[in-house]
Amino acid sequence: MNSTIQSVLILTLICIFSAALLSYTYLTFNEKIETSKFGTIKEKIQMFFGNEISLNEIEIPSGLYQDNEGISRIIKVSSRNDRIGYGVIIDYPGYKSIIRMLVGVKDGKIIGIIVLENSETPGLGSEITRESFTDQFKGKSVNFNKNEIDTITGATISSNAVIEGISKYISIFSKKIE
Amino acid sequence: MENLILLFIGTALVNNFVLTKFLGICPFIGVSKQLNVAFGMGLAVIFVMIISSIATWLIYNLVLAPLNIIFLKYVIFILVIAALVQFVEIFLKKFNPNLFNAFGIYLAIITTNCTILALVLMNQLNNYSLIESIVYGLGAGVGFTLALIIMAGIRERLEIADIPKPLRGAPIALIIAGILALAFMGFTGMM
Amino acid sequence: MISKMKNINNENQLFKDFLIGLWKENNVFRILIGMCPTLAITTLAINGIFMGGATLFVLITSGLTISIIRNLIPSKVRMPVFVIIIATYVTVTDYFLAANFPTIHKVLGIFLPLIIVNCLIMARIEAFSSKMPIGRSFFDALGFGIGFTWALVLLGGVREILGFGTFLGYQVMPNSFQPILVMRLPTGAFITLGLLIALMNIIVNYRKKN
Repeated sequence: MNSTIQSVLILTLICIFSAALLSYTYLTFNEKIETSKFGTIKEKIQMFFGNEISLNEIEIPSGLYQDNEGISRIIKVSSRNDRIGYGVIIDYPGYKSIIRMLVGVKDGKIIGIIVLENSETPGLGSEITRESFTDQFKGKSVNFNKNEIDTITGATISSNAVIEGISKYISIFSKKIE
Repeated sequence: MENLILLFIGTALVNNFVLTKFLGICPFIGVSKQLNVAFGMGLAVIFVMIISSIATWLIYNLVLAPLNIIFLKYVIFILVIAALVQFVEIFLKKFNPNLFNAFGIYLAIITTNCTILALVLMNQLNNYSLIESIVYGLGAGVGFTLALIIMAGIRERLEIADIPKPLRGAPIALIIAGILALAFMGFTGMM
Repeated sequence: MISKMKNINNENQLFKDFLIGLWKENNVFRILIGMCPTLAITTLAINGIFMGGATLFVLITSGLTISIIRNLIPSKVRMPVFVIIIATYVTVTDYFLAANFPTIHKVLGIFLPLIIVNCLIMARIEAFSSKMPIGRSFFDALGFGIGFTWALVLLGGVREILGFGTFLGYQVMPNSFQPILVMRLPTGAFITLGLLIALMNIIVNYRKKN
């Protein structure tokens, strides 16, 4: 057989083999990968950005996380392969615990926040998870003025922690990433 | 602009591909015996890094992502790098045979140089724009060249030193690399 | 009688193929190829097992695949064919680990896809799998894969014992032991590997003399 034809033939076959094997691999494992990487965070991000999204974690530039406070994860959110925004996970020390929050950022604005984890005082500090508090962040610019957000009565330290943490680190985030 | 300069310096010095990230060790040990050879290899790597950054960025963002075939990333990237190196070889052979001979075998082995593949993968992992990818490639290449040249300079001097037999060759090179790595750690304070 | 001898010879050959990668041509300590993961991964002994295991898998799968089709590959296109096959199996490994063993996947990080350009694999395929039948290719891949793994575990082990006081996670040094922090850093990696290679040189030369 002509060597060139054989070369082309074998290359094509190998490419088909590779594409087939990899498609199968992708289809088999992708769901599981998304879940193990993002778990319940994906659902929460979907609350901000809608359901038709794909997530990609990006490496955090150094120096953004020190002594239990800072940006712990940056998740790029894309819809049909256009980047539409980010989910930024910020840790900040509260009254009794490190508060972990998810902030949805799009076009220089905060779409919303969700307090993911905290062990603040039940009934007082733990109220920071309430929508009445977190909804205040919706639509704020990434460089919002801390005074624009009201703290929760009886939970000043915890709510200030959320406000301070987000104010400080989202502005750093938007400077470094956007 | 300030961002880009920081990116460049950070990659060339603080996050040096060879001494901090352990990439490109094979050529680092193998090619760093003579200064001019090291320099030539470094230049070749810088060049390939920049064009690979551009090519893979384009392919990833214009082809792979839109078509949702990101799982073909590794296969496509390595083929692109190999093809680019081939083209560069052919191009050089035809238009600048002197340069081609100077590079010699080094151009060919760049393909299996883990630095190039690592670089293009990191461009995409870090979500860099086209400009940032190019700067990152430049920084990585310069850092690699820097490490290579320093190593070559030291090893040229070592040629005339009396090294115990078991340590000759790779072992002493690695130990020096270790000390160099220690020195480069000093740069972290800069950031 | 003759066929019995042939069988024994075959087994001997396979065993020899297996042994070569373990010591004589051990790629970390003797031939020095596939260096990047060697230094980066080996902060802990267990990482050596992960990386070695992944590399072993790719060695065997790509080696067998190429051995099966070895007579169909025209010499002109063998590089692209090899590369595509290796890259494919590395991608499979990547996805498999990311889905089922995310901790291992995270530990290996960027060095998992870099297995594609690990000269060890290309070298074994070029030198062996592309020319030998599947039986021998398998044992060759197995030997080199395990050889790579034990070398990584040794390097990782030394760095772990001196840098953390543990081996495979178990405390082996007395509580009074002050970990040698530099072992956890790139410097420690370079120097330890350099000294280990020197040690291997000494051992080989000693055996040669006797």
